[in-house]
Amino acid sequence: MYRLFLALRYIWSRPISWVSMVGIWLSVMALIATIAIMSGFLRETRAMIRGTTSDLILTPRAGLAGRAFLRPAPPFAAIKEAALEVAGVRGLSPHLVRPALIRVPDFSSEVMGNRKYAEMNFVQVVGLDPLQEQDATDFNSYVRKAPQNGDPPADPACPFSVDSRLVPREYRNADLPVVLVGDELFGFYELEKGQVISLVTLPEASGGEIKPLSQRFIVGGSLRTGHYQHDRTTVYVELQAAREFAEAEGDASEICLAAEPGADLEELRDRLARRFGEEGLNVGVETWMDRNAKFLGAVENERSILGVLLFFFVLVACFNVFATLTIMVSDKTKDIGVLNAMGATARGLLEIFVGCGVIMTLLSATLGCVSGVLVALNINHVNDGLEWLFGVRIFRADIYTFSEIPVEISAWFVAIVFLATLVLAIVFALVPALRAARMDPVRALRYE
Amino acid sequence: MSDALLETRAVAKQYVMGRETIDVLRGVDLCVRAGEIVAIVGASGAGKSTLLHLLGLLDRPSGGEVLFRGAPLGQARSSERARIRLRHIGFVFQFYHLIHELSALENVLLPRMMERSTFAWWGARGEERARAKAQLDALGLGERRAHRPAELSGGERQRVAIARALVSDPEVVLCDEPTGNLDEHTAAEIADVLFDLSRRTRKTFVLVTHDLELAGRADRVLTLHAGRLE
Repeated sequence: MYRLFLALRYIWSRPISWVSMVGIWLSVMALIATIAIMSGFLRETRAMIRGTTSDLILTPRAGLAGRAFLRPAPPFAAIKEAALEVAGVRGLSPHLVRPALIRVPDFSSEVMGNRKYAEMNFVQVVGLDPLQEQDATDFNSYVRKAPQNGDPPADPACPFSVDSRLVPREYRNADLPVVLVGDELFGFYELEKGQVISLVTLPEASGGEIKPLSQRFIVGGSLRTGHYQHDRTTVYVELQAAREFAEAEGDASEICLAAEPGADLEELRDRLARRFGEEGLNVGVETWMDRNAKFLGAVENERSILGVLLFFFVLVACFNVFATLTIMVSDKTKDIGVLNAMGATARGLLEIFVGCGVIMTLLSATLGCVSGVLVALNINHVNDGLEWLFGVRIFRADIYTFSEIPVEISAWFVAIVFLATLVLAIVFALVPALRAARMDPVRALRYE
Repeated sequence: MSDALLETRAVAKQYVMGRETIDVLRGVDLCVRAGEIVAIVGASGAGKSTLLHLLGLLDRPSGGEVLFRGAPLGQARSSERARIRLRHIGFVFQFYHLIHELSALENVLLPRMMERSTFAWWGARGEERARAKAQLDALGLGERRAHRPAELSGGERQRVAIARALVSDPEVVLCDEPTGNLDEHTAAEIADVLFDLSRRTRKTFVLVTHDLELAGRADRVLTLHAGRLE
């Protein structure tokens, strides 16, 4: 009984113990809250990427020998036929993707001359077939999302159409193709439905002089996937319009493939690759995760780095326990002598000081875990509070595609942090506690 | 000597200070019988406290043997020696050595807590508190039991230390200069308390002191000189 009693009294009567406890509390809280927020960001990032990428992406490849084309890429129809024979495939949709420059009258010269905005000139033109797209991607749902400028969304049944009254009089009879612009890009250029823009691309590689290809398009509206980068750099046109614009020889540069719900994508990828091999079709197959492996890996890596860095704070806080107990053992040298004289064993003395470390850590780590979870759950209120207090907003919804700071709390992670902190503190507490236990009682009694 | 409680046989103690070896005790033979008050006097540095620490099993001799109730404890494990200290030996020190974080009552309760596990303590804490309070009341500290050591006078602190030494009803109380840090009047009071307790409880007391007047009230006075008892 005396061990617990003395440990509590020693902690209670020493302000430095409270300082150490506050250190552990804050560091554990910061670690749990930060990782919860980073996990939330990772979840949202995965969801965003998942939303803009189909389950699997097939890439028809031309047969190459050196730098000369031997045979063209396999046609979409042949790929579709082979793919649909594989169990787990729900549908496919061809995409023709080309890089391009965007020119918006009265705007592009300003952007072109400003390095800060220069990247806004470069876009990906995605040619697709809205009907086949329904089988493979969430394209229709992106079209339905209301644009930021308050315009009504485009009609998913007929997205590449525009009310002719909105088109400038001089282009009404020009039969220009319609383009849907990613919402962020749409907002940046302050586009309007019916406005005419130009896209410039290069033809597929061929010998001789390369002449840029330019085409005017009518803006049919905006499209919102929720992925900031995607919505800032992508414009959509009908597949046939894209072929004509890019003078493309093949009918698809990549094919979006939707799997049946619950299908194992990696297994399906391997089965498809085998099937295409059997058919002699040169087609690359990758899952949505394969395609974004580096980006997802970077976000995960960021979370891991932050976790490691913040765990060092916990380590430093636990080191404070060591420092506090070392001072405590020095201060209580005479007590150690007296307790020895009263009949305390070396193990009893060890348990008093390890007990101090354990009690300090139990209290502060518990508080840290609880407050870390509470901070994470209320991080948006914390954000508002900080803005109210200091006028600084740590999270800006306009940078991200989500309006609130996302949070994902893992009970396992909280438990691991709690246990790791406890183990660390016990290890650190053992050193001064062993010194106390091994102290010569006679020297301790004579200690000045 | 069937009633010998504490014995030393040819006990020697050496300290090595660098290259120098200091012989503090050179073959001390002592027998303390149950119920007697033995005073050990000697000049400063004569080894009185060292002898007391050896008798109290806080230190091990360099040579010879210390016996408790006839049993040699030279080879006894530290935990066994601690158990004997807890149950059979009480200490009173010159500088009281009370634990500052605890009240007078809690200081007295501490040896009782050492005897019990946490669960056993919760069952017996009322009884133990009553026992400690009675001990403090007997020493005139009934009104001071909630006070911390810093709030007590030197004499009161020493009374608390005496209460702490006696609360577990030890067979022998070892006092190291119990009046050495007190003024004359308070020292006389503490001496009265000790001798009164000894007579009433028939406990064995070993006093180490350089106060010849205090030593003179003991049953036996032994002088430690040049590492030997005379």
